[in-house]
Amino acid sequence: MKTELFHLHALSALHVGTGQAVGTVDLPIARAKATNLPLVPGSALKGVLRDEFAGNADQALLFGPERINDADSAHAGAVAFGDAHLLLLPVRSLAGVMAWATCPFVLGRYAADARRAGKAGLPPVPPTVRPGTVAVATSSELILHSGKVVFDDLDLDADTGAADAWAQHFATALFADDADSANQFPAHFALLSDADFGFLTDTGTEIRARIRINDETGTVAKGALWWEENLPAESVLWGVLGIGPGRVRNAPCSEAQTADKLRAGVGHGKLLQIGGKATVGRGLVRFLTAGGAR
Amino acid sequence: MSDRQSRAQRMAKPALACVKSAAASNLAKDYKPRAMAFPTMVLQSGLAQAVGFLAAKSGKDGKGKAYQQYFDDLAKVTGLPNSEALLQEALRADLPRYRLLTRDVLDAASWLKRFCQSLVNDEGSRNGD
Repeated sequence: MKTELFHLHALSALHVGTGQAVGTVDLPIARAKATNLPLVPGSALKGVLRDEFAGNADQALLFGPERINDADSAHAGAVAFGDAHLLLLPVRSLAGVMAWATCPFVLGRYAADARRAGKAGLPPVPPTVRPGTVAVATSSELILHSGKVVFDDLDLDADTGAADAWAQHFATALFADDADSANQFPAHFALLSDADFGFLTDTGTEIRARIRINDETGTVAKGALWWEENLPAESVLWGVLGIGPGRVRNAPCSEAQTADKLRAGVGHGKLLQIGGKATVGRGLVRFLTAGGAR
Repeated sequence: MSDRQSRAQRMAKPALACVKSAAASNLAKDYKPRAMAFPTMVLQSGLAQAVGFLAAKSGKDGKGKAYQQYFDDLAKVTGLPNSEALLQEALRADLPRYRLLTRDVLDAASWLKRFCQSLVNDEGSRNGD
């Protein structure tokens, strides 16, 4: 099985939830148990992509049959979908409007996945960033006159130029087909300490209040106020796809042919809707495949 | 037997006592909406702003009294002596302490919210009364 890296770039707030919760917000987003970092489960992505192949003759080959009627027609899909992990969190910045933030811990896991998927030439992952400081690119627009960077509730000292290599990597990987965005990206890239980034992923997601109006009174219906957590628009996640040969009986299909069929249906930059609350504008993402970014 | 407890246990016990006491008082009607909304306020505005808001709205009369009670209860469940101590801590803390205090206050506020949901109805009476 060959593995490929993919990116998801949120174009609107993204709510892939857990159904319900007893904690701070009523409808929180899904998070990894061990890291508490937001994720999009592989099953969510698989379901959406399967839907993109509705009516396509290759749907069962790639995703498995919709229904299994007997043992002879049972087979697994050729594509395995890993969870998509948060890579870049958009955070409010006093200078430069917004930053795409990440940290060495996340970069380390990303780089390891990328290497396993055959990607060479990645910049070195800095072993650490000191808490209270932030590495930014030479062209950064995030720095105030005082040399400070202010993200959300945090005052940080800027280390200018220390994030140039990764800023350029992401500009190319995410915006290969959009020169304006690629040029602007490095000025808004920020590498935080693991501690500061963890804090922002915990407290810096987007919380939106929702209400239901009582038609008779025109005011909020009793008890009909709730809070939903979202990953903000512009969030970037990464994950791994495993692509194997087709498993349909008496219809051999090589790994390379499977990969071609998948790309033919969902090309680089394909717009998808993932997660809940679609009718109120959530979950519009760009699906970026490794093949397209090369 | 060890006397160690999980974070959840350490907070849930005083939170239950605080909400039971509030539910039995005439403050419950104003206490509950504050308890329901406060955790989100910390996430939306940051700890210092949210605690500052509580300090500004607390008082000796009417809603202010309920807010003061909630503020004191929040401090207690967080593990601090009173609301003034929580306000001072939120304003004075360095960044590592501020991160921890934010998490502690969010956890404490979540317990107060949860017990209010189960023990206090919207009219301010105990559920089932």
